[in-house]
Amino acid sequence: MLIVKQKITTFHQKFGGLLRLIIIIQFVIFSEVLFAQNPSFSNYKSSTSPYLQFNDIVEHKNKMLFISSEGVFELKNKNLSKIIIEENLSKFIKTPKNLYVWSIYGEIFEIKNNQLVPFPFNKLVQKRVENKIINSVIFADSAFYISTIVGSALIQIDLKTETISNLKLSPYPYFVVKFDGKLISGNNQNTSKNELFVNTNSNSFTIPLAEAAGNSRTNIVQLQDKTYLFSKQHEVIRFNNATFLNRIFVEKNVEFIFQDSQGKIWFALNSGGIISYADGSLKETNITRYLGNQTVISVAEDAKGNLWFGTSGNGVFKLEKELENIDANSTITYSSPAIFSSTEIENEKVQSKFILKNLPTDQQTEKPINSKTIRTDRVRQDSLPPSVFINSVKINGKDTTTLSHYELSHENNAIEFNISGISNSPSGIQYKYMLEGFDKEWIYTVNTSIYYTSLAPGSYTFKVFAMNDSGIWSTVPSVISFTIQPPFYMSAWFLLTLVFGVIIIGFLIYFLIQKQNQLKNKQIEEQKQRALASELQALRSQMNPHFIFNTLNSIQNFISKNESKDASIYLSKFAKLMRATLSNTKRQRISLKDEIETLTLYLELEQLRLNNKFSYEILVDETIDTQYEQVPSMLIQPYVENAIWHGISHKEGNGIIRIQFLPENEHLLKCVIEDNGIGRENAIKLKKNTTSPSFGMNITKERVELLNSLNGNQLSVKINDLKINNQPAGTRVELYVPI
Amino acid sequence: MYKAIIVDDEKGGREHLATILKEFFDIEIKAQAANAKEAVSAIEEHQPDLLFLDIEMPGENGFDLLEKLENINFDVIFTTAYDHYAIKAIKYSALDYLLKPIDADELEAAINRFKSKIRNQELTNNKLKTLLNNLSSGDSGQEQKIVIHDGEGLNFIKIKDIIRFHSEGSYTDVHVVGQDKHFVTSKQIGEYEEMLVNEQFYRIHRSYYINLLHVKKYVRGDGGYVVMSDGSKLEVSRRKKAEFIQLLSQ
Repeated sequence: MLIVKQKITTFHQKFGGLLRLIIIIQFVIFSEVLFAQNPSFSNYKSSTSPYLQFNDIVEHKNKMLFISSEGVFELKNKNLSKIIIEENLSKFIKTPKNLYVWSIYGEIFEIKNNQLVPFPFNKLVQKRVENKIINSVIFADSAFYISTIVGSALIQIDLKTETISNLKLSPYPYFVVKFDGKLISGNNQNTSKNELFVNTNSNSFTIPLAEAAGNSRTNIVQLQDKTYLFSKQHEVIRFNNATFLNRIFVEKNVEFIFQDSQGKIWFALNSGGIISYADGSLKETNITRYLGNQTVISVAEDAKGNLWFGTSGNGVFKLEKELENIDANSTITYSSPAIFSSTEIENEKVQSKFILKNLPTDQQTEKPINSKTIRTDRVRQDSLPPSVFINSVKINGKDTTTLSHYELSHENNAIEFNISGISNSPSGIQYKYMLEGFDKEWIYTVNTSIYYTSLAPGSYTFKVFAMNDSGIWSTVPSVISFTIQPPFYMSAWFLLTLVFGVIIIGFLIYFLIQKQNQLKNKQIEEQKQRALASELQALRSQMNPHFIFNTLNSIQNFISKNESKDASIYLSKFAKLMRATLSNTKRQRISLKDEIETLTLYLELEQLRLNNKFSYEILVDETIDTQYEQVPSMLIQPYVENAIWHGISHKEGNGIIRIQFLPENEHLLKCVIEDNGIGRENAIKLKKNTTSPSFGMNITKERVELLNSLNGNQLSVKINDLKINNQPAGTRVELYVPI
Repeated sequence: MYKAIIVDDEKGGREHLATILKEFFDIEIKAQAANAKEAVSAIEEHQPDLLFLDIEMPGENGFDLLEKLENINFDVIFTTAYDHYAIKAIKYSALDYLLKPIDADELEAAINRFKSKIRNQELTNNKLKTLLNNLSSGDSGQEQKIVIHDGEGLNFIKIKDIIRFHSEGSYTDVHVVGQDKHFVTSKQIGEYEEMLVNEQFYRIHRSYYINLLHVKKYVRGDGGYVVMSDGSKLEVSRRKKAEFIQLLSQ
C-alpha cells in the first residue's frame, strides 16, 4: 500500500500543474488513481517461489489451498507455503466429503493429510486419454468426467459401479458438466462452421460462435439463474437450455469464469486483470475492473464471502468482502488532498451523478452521498463513452489531408491510419476496428497505428471504435472510406477483350487438335485393321493345311498299325495344339509359358510327321519369369516352322533345332532359333523347283512391322547364316521381343 | 473300387472313356447314360462315387441334369470338347474338368485328385451350387463367384469383392472387401491371372494383380502407383505403365 501511495505522488508531481487547470481531466486522474491501487486487495506470495502461477483455489477444512506449477500451497501467516510437491497438477475437485485434484495427464488424486493419494484407475484413464490435452475434469453423481480439448475422449469413471467408459456424447467435446441431473457436453463438430454444439441428456442444439473454435481451452459455468456462460478466447456467450441469450467480447482471452454468492460474474483474463459484471446479463455499463493487466488464472470464494484470485507470476490476491464496499475512509486514504483541493465540489457532483445512476435496484434506498454505501466500483466507473478520431491517413507512407473519402489509383495500396480515443481516463483505451472489404471481423487492439498494405483494387470502409477502461464503447465510430481503382490491365474492357481473345484462340487450337486427332485415329484404325488381317493370316499359316493333314495322316498310320496308345497320345496333342492356337488368336499377347507350351506341342507333332528326323531343345534363362513375361501371340512359331520346312526337311541325316530365350535388357527378350539345316541359299535354290508355300515368313515380316508401328515397340529380327568351313551349316534367327 | 457313371450323348466318347478307365484305373463303370433322363435313373440305381458328365448334350445339358438332381452325393468331373464360357464357370468354382479328346495324363491327374481328396459332400455341393449360380447369373462378369482355397478351407468370393492378388513367394495373398485378414492360397498369382483374364483385372506388377474396379487413384511417377479401395498403395511396373493407363482411360 505504501508503494501505491508513492506512485500517486510521483504521478501528481509530474502532471499536477496541468490538472489544476482542467477540472474534468483532474477527475480522470482521480479515477486512474483509484483504479490502479485496488485498495481492498491483499496480496500473498510464496517467499520461496514468488513468481508461480496459481491454477486453482479452494477452501478446505477452514484452510485456503492453492494449486501451482510446483504443487499444493497453503496460506499460513500471510505466506503461501508448499505442503505437497507435485508438478502438473491442474485443478481441485471438491465433493461434499473429500477434496480431489487432477493433473494435466488426467490423473486424479485425493488429498488426505497433506498427501496425494492416487486413484487406482489412473493408469487405465491415461491409456484412454492418449496424450490429449485435458480440458476439464468434473465430479457429479458419484462419477468423474474427463473431457479433452482435441479428440473424442469423454471418459466417465463411475465410482459406484467401478467402471470406466468412453461416453459418446459428441465427437469432440469441449467440456462436460452435470447440472440438475443433466449431462451437458459441448463441442465444435465442424470447425469451419464456427458453432458450438451443445448436447444434453434431453436435447442438443448449436450456437454460432464468432471465431473458429480451434483447440483452445474453454470454460463453462452455470449461473444462479440457470443459464450457462461459455467462454472461448475472448468470446463469451450466454445460453439456457436451448436458446442463445447474448454474446460479448472481452478484450483479452478469458481464463476462468466465476459467479460469486452475490451473483456477480467474474472473468479472469490473460494479461487483463479481472472484470466483474453485476449479473449474468453482462451489461457493459455494469463493469468493474481490477488488477490491471495481470494474468489471472483462477477465482474462488471462501465461506466468509471473500474472493480469491490466483495470478500468473504475482501470487494470490484476496478481496475482502467487507472491503469490497469502499467507505469514506478509504476514499480519503487514497485521495491526495492536493488533487481535491480546488475541485472537491466538482468531484462530488460527478460522483453523485454516478452513484445515483448506477445504484443497483436492491439498494435504492436513499442515503447520503458520502455514506458508507458508496461502492468503489461505482465511484471509479467511467461511464461516459469515449470519442474516437482518425488523426491522420498515410498513403504509401506519405501524409495526406484527412478526408472522409479517397479515390486511389492501384499503386496507392498501402494505407496507414492513426487513431486516437479521448475518454475521461486517458489510459487503458482500446480500439476495435474493421476495414470493410478486407477484414471479416472486428480486430481488437491498443495500438494507435493501423497499417494495411497491398490492398487489392476495390471499395473499402475503415471503421474504428474506442473503448475506455471501464469497457464502454464509443457510440459513434470514426469512418473513412476509400476506393482503389483497378489498373488498366484489370479494367473491364481490357479483361473482356482478353477473355474473348483467349476463347477464340482456344477454339482454334481445339479444332486444329481435333482434326489432327481424327487423322491420327483414322491412321491407327487402318493399322488396326491391317494388324487384324495379318493376325488372321498368321493363324491360317499356323493352321497350315499341309501340316494338319500330314499330322492326321501320321496318326492314321498308328491306327492302321494298331498302335492305339500312340494314336491316342498324338491325337490329344494335336487337339491341344488346335485348342491353344484358337485361344491364342483371341489375345494380342500371351504369357511366355503358353508360347513355349504351344511351341513344344508343335515341335512334337512335327517330329511325328517327319518321323523323328530332328531333335529339339528349348532353353529358358532362369532369370525369366515365364508366367509373368508376355510376348505377341503367334510370332515365334513361323520361324520354327521355317527352320523345319526349309532347313531340316531337306537335310540328309538328323537335324537339331534349338530355341533359346534370354534376357537382352529390361525391355527386350531375346529369342534365338537355330537349326543345322541346309541354310537359306540352298533353300532358295530348292524353292524354285517346288510349289510349297512359304508365305508364313512374309506374313510374319509384315506383322513385325505392324506391331512396331502400332505400339512403338522395338521388335526386331536378325537372321544369320551359319557356316562351317565356309559351307552352309544352318540358320540362326534372333528375335528381339519387347516385354 | 470306386463306382462311376459316364454321361455323354456321343457313343464314341462314352466308350473311349470307359475303355481307358477300365484298362488303367481301378474304377468300375456302373452305367453309361446318353442323356439326362437316363442319367437320373442310373444315378438313383447305382449311387455312384463319381460322375463323368458331358456338358453339351441335346435337350437337357449337363448343368440341367445337376440342377434336376435333389441329392448329390458324388463327385463330378466335367467333360467337354470346347466351351469357353462353361470352362470359365467350372474353373471359378474349382471343379474338375477334362477336355475332349481326352488326354490320358490329364485323366490320370483328375482321377488322382478325386482319390486323394477327403470326401466332403457339403463342399462339393457348395462348389456345384456356386457353379450353377454363376451360370444362371449369365456372363455378368464380376457378379460371379470364385472359389478361393486357403489353408482353412474353401471360400466362395464374389469376383467384384476381390481387391487385389499379392504374390508372396510361392503363395498368393487375396485381399477381399470387408475382410480384416486376407486369404493365403498356394495358387500362383499367374493362375488367377489366367482364370480372370476377361474380368477387368490387370497385372500391374510382377507381384500385384489388381481389380480395376477397385482402383481409386493412379498417381503418376516413374511407373507410378495406384491407390486401391482398401487404401493400399501399389507400385506399377515401369513397362506396364502405358498399357495400364490406356486400360484405365477406357
